[in-house]
Amino acid sequence: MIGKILRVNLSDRTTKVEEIDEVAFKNFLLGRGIGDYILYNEVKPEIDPFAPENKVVVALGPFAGTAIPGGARVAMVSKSPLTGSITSTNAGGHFGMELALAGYHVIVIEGESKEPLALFVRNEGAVFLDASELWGKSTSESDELLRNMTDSRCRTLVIGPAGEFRSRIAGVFADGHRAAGRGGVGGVLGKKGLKGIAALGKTHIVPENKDVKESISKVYECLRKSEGVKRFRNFGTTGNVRTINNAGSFPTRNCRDSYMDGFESINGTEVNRQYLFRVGSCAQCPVSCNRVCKVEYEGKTYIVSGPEYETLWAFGGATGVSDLRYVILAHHLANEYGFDGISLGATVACVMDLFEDGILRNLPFESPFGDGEAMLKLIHLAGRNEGIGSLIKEGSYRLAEFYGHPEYSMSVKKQEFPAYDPRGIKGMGIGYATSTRGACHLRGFNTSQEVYSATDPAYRLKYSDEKMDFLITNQNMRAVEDSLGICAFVGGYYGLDLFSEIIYNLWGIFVPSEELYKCGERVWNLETLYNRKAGFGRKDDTLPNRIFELPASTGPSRGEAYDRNEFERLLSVYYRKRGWDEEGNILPSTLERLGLQ
Amino acid sequence: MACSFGRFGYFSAFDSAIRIVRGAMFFEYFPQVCTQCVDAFCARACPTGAFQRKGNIVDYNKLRCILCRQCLLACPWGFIYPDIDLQYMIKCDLCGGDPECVRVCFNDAIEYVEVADVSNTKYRGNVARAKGERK
Ligand code: SF4
Repeated sequence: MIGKILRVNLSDRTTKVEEIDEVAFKNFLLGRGIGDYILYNEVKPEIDPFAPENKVVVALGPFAGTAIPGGARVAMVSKSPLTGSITSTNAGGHFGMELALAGYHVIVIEGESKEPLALFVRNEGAVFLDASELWGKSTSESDELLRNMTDSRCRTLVIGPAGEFRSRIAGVFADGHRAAGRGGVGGVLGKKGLKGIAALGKTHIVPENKDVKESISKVYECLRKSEGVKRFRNFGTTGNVRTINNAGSFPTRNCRDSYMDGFESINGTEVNRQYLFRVGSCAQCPVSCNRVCKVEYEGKTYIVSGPEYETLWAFGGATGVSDLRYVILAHHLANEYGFDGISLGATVACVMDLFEDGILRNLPFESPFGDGEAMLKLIHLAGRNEGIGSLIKEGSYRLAEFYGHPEYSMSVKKQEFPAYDPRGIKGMGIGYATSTRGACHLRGFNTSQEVYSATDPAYRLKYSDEKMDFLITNQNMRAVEDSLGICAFVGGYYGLDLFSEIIYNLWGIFVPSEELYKCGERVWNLETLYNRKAGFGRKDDTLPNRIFELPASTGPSRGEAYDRNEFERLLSVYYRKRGWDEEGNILPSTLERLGLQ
Repeated sequence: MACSFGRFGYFSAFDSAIRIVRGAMFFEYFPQVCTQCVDAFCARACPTGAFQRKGNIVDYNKLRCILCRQCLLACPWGFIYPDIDLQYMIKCDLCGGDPECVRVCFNDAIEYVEVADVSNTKYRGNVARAKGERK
């Protein structure tokens, strides 16, 4: 028996507890997998994401609440208001562990409430609280207030003001600062009137089999020896700025270029040298990649969480700001207002780009690219939903479309690019295009094959078919890890055999490792199936024109654009290898193989 | 987690002999764990002798415990807790010299050192931290 489902109906304020079906677990695991499964069965693909019929599934992996490293991620699945596709996003922090120890692995949030509510989950059950006091408060304040209202030992999951005014790029925050940003799930929760969830867990999780200890020791052994973990502890993800710039794949100034002059000033070593205050970690994780920085601004000292590589890019590279202080502050503001850092940074960059080309006028700046103050001002406007901020909060595609130039938005399926430029890493292009939730580096990370472990530096620029094999394997493996609630940074140290062993030792359910891999494939295909029903097809699996037409002008990828014919060819190869037809629809034989009819 | 698992074979954040208390500041945490006093207050307070000084540690004998919780009140640090079902007390016994928590701590934040004078070491640690040296 594995965990329980808590169904929460906000319309009539009722809760219901259900068992998790073992067959569903064997097919889809937990986390992202079970979330997709519930959404697929219960939410029609054609509805409006802000309709009360939409649901948000908060799901943990089977390893939450134990000592298994990196296993406490919280996945959230919903129909995304940003893309209109299915979206799944996950956050770290300690919330996952508390919720698992409170006895629930999945919370399904349904309905809609007129008054702001919060949910308090304990072993004794869940209760609704009036959250009007929290409404309008920033994420860290909400976290604190919610803990004061319930129990100081609680851990929370909250949305910020951005979620409340239904921003399409609003995230959900664990512990007040660990973001599950992408896809705008925060906006869905805001529409539903759920400000936050507090969890306090007191039960134990008793493993079925004592051998779990040996399995855990194996992982610990690997992690302790690994150089990668050491680097993560020292730099978090921030060390990537140098690597990716040297590979000419750092999308700079809204993808006008793929290399940033002066990236050294926002690199990880600078973060460590000037601002690092301490490091932090998620529950049950020894890696501790989280940075905590101390910055001074206008006479005040702020101790803030962050930055990560992605936000160094979003508020540094994308906007051309090379003053690290502004980047860290922007990350902090994005967290406090409750935005997804990547999307917010990219949208601000889009505004600057439109301004630079004279499409957008009447903004109080000279030349916004590279202007830290201008960036902070735009973020404040977005966070207060004022002026142009009310467009920024809709994401870059809708903003650029409003001004009649959607080609200025660097997005796929309306979700903004993360920090890897497909012009410099060709495999990432197909990864972005085929991702089930819009452009995303966590749905196919070819960088590891083409940059980290490549011996030939020109390999990343080749359009070769074997990159598609890697991409598909990587996408499936990511789906497995997400469905097990394992962090992407730790998942690589396990391997499928060890996953299967731990699941057996912990829960007494045997899922062979080939079957686990198939679960990943099944999750991916289920998401695609959902998107196809929602009207997505080959026409949406594409990249913005700028990537095809504008070659990079400086750096190691100088002169490189993405060849359109090669792109179409690779996409067809990808579809074929997936067992889909030319239009990207899943063939009946593939559905049958995966048991998805 | 490692603590409760090593001790009882299940995962629990409450049945752990080492607890983390949140500070008022962002990202300020204080781990709390038994200091194994030489002249232990719990041992003095215990009417049945469940707590006894044995070698380097103050040992807790579950079988003798009558759950009067005098130890809980006696401990000046507040480092003894009842377990969640209120069946016995939980206190660090250093896992017999090879603590589980040290084994899983990657950042070497927990070390196993034998110190003669707890308060003095703590004091020195605080001074070092106040000077800005990170431990
Ligand atoms: S690797 Fe970093 S993000 Fe992942 S679980 Fe550990 S601390 Fe959290």
